[in-house]
Amino acid sequence: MTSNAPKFRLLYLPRLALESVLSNFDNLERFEFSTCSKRCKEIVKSLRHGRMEIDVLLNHRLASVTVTSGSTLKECTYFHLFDEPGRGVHEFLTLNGRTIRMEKVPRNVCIYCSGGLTVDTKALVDHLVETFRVPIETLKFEMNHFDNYRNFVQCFPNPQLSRFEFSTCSKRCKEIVKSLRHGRIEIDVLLNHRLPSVTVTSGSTLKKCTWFHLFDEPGRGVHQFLTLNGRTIRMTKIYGNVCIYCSGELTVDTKALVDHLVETFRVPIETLRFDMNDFYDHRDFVRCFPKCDDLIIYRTRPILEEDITYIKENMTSNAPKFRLLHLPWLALENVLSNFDHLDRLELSTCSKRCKEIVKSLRHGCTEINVELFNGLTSVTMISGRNLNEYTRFHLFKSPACGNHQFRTFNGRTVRMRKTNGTVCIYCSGGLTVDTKALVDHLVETFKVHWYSLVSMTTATSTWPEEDITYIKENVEYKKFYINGNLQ
Amino acid sequence: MSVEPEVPIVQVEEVRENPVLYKIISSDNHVFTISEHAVKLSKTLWDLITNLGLTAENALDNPIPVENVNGKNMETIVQFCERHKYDEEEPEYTNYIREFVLPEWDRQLLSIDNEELFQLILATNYLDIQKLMDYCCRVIGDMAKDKTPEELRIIYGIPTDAEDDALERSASDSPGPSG
Repeated sequence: MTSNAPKFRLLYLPRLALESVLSNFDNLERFEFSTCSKRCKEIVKSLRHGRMEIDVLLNHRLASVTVTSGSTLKECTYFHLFDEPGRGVHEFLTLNGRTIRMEKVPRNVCIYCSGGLTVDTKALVDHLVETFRVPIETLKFEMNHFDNYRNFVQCFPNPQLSRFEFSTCSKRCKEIVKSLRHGRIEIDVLLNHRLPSVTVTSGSTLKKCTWFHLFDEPGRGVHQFLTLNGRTIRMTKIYGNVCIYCSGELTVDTKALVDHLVETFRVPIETLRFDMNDFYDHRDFVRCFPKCDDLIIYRTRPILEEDITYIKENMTSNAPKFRLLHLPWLALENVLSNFDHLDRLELSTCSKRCKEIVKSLRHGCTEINVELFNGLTSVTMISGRNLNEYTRFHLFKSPACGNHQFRTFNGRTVRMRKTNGTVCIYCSGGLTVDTKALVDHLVETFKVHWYSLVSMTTATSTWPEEDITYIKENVEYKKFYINGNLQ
Repeated sequence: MSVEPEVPIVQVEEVRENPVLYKIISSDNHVFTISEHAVKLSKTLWDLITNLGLTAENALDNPIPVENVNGKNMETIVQFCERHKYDEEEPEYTNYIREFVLPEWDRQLLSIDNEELFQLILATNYLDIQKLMDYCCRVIGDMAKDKTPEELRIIYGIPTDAEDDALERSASDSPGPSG
């Protein structure tokens, strides 16, 4: 039974010698060696395996895992997993704590998983992925008669989709996902009159896709909730597809999703396609995506010249960039002294660094007044030596229609429209939160206090005492007026 | 000390009327002549001339080397200084937002591409020519008029927070100077 010949103490070899020995093992041998013990697994993990791919095929009869290697991917090892006990003499293998029976024929391994095909398939794939340090290249489902495919879907979550979902849990999760290496990834956006569609493609050969479809309707059924850049949206998942329901705020939610993807996976939008057929609202979307590598516009009928001009002007600029942030500090201050307050505010929303720069400038006398009405909030920024320069922000609850720009204040993205010295902001779903975000941003950036004076105006002669008490207790103020009378 | 480089001397039309001339050599060895009134607009050059003790007699024999400015920028600077040498000194601005009209001649002069303009500002900053700096900065400031933050990012090449963070991380990860 056991040989009396002295054992070869492989694990006592010097590292280079050990590596040299293991370099003579083929994939199957390395796999078997890795199942011997944790230490062996660690040794195999530390080896260089060259180019490798793991492909999984699932159908109603069996699960098949193929490990392909070699510079031209010609060497294959097939693992076939059957949902039956098998017959004959078998070897036993322990994978992630599960002992399974297996039989080897050249380049083929048959594994018999009585009672736990999905779990054993997952154990095998996890072991291969971990040991050979490559992700699953393709996962193929043959759906004919494959009734229990859902059991397998749970075993092989889409990595991009999982990372995306994980990144939406909290800022910390987002930072973790951002710090990961994602390999080759592309983000493509398709916009047409029916729905925007965002595709995230990944893998070395860009075979793996996750599709996000955004609908301008509330949707039905049981939904998950997802928070993207401060916007909570409803979604449902079908394998590889995510349907997002944006009742009334399609452009804002599309922008929030794309911004989140671009930021999290650290890649720009690869292609942006406009299907202009019956797409009358395309200008709403143009300002959402000012930057992309390839811009594709198509329409069955000729495209209007003004539409092309509008998209070109608002999206990509061919002029070389002026490296503003590389200027010496005095020169930078000099440049920014030419910006009015609205320009400074716009710059401060570009990035944290820009906000810090704007904060460090001197803005002269600046006051911020906030007026609150039913359904409308008015924020006025007053500046100039004689306090005669005004910038007014009107915040509305209603979403409004037309061409809007987007701004992000303290993590909240809002729609806005600018006219001379007046900015209209549409905060569907969060007037109070958006007002606070704007005021906080202004107070912080321009370093002014706004809550020194409270003035209440009413058409009726008397205020309910409890309202006055409530405001007095909850607002910090220096002077309190009711209908112009100092209290 | 006398330097006679084998390069063409660039003559600017306006300089001929002034008897006191100075020679300036750019980093790429182009020689420019500039009048005394014009050179006074550059605080750096005028301090240098004063400290070197250059006078009307020996000025042309002692060219001033300016290593940080190339010939193209120096030509623009000389043209600008000659154009504005008799301008009255402007009062220092007190408002925090600048309000002045950029003359058309200067706008034309500064109609150059962004990278050239960037280099010109660096040169102006080095030579300390306040008026040219104000004008250049006005041209840059005008680029931002009525632009959205996304457009500002494109025009000014402003990196996003994510790019900034990545840069910061890579800077902190890289080994510092040893010893």
